[in-house]
Amino acid sequence: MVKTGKIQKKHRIERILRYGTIFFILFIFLFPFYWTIATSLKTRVVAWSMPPVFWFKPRFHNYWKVLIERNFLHFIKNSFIVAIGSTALALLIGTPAAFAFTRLKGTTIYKNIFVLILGGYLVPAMVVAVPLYIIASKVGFAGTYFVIILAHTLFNLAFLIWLLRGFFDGIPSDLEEAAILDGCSYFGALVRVILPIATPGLIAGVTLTFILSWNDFLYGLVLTTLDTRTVPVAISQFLTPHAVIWGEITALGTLSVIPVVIFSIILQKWVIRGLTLGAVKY
Amino acid sequence: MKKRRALVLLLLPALAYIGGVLIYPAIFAGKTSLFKYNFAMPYAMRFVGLANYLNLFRDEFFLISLKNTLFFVVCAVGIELVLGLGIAILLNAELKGRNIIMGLLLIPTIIAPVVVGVVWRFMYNEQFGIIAYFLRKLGFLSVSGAILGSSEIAMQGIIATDIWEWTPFMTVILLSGLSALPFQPFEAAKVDGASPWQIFHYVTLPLLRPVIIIALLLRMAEAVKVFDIIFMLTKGGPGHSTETINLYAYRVNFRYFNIGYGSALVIFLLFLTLVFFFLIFSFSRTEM
Repeated sequence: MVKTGKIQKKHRIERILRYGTIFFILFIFLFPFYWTIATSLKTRVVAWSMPPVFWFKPRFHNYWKVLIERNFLHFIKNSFIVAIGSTALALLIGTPAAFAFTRLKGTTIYKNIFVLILGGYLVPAMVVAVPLYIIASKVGFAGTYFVIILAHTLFNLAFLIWLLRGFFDGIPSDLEEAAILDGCSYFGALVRVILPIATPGLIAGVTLTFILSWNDFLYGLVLTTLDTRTVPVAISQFLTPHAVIWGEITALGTLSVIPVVIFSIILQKWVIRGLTLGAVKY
Repeated sequence: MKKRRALVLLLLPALAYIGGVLIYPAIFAGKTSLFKYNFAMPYAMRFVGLANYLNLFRDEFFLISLKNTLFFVVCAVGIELVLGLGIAILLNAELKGRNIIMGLLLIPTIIAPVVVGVVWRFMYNEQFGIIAYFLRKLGFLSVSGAILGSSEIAMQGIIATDIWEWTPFMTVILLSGLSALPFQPFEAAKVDGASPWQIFHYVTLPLLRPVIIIALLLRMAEAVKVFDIIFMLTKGGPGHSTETINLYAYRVNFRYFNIGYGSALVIFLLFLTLVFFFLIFSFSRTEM
């Protein structure tokens, strides 16, 4: 009896320690967010006071200023156009390709081409952005949605094929073969039989590619102009060396993060699966 | 055979896309890197062979940026691995609310790097930044001292930011590796009376080795290209103390419009990334 009591006590202490450490770590990783959101809700005087103020009355004037006076909605609109455009294009091209890759597994085509596709995700943005910038300037397409969507589709396509391949792998090929025996074409079988089963994978893919595009900075910095500028580029240009308007910038940061955080909490399982791709076999 | 042809047909659009938007631009950059070419004076374009590449290693700013990049990659990724492994082991237990914990922990990784830059630049601010305030209170920073404005510690500030951003990523990868490990070796070690440290050193680490190496390579391939957070925090300054290859390439290409030399820089960066890429690829084939 005494012994089991001791073990139980040891277990309890261990549990408390574990949870305590986890909460401490979470605090470290989340505090900067609290601080950013708090700053966006403070008046200038409160935000700049030293020592830092932790409790205060929230005010939304920074959001009003950013959204209405500085016309930030324009950049949000641009980011949506680019993210939706490049996600749709990647989905259109990438879904059949991912499917074909799964069914070609083990062939030389598969081995050689798959590496190439993944290159679109790992290639430094500059390698593509500099030539695209020069070519687009020559043809008169510079700064259009078309060019930036084209660029974003590159990493979105690679990522989507990588992700979807995992989902298609789990669908037995008997299914589409049965459909083909019944007179379907390969493409028809893919659309009518495989895609409905792979819907969760498609949702995960769409979400993650949307986030990738929404977060991109370097392609946007090189390839957009004022008319087509995306949110991250707009934020970077608010950040001038002199007279930084922190209240407004933190409001911008908060606004741009909200959709991503909501998505990633709802679809957390898929986000984790997307992040661990390639690292761990599944 | 008919099946094979139908499948290749499904691949074609993606292949055409990769050809047009990845291969062609990469070749274009490779070609441009052999020319003396300034975008502001397009008519003065002149073939110079490998001169741009040879000049790289005589260029003081390039050598500084190379050194900064390597320092950044080694420090940031190394610390991320250690912290990520620690947190992963901590989370690899029966926990209540593990999903919520993972979801919250992942936020730094999932948000735009530009916003990460905003958040940390504000906290580092020498007048009203909360980190500067506490560092002063603790005596680590003088009254007039700056973090991002000091060429000695600006890079450390950037590395700390990167660690905050990417440690959760390491954690997630290592955690999924840990939870996929067989439990028998751990049981056996426990029965033999191994201490937790011995279990970690002789059982966990060797079993987890493939996942650790892949996680390291994945992170390194990304870290070599670091741009966004440095652009937001210091733009490579003060002086050139935090300028990495990607930032230097941006400056040469889009501030000086020296596209010829800039392309050589970009191709060099591509080369570095490819090294990691092939390491990852060959490794994931042999070990898994």
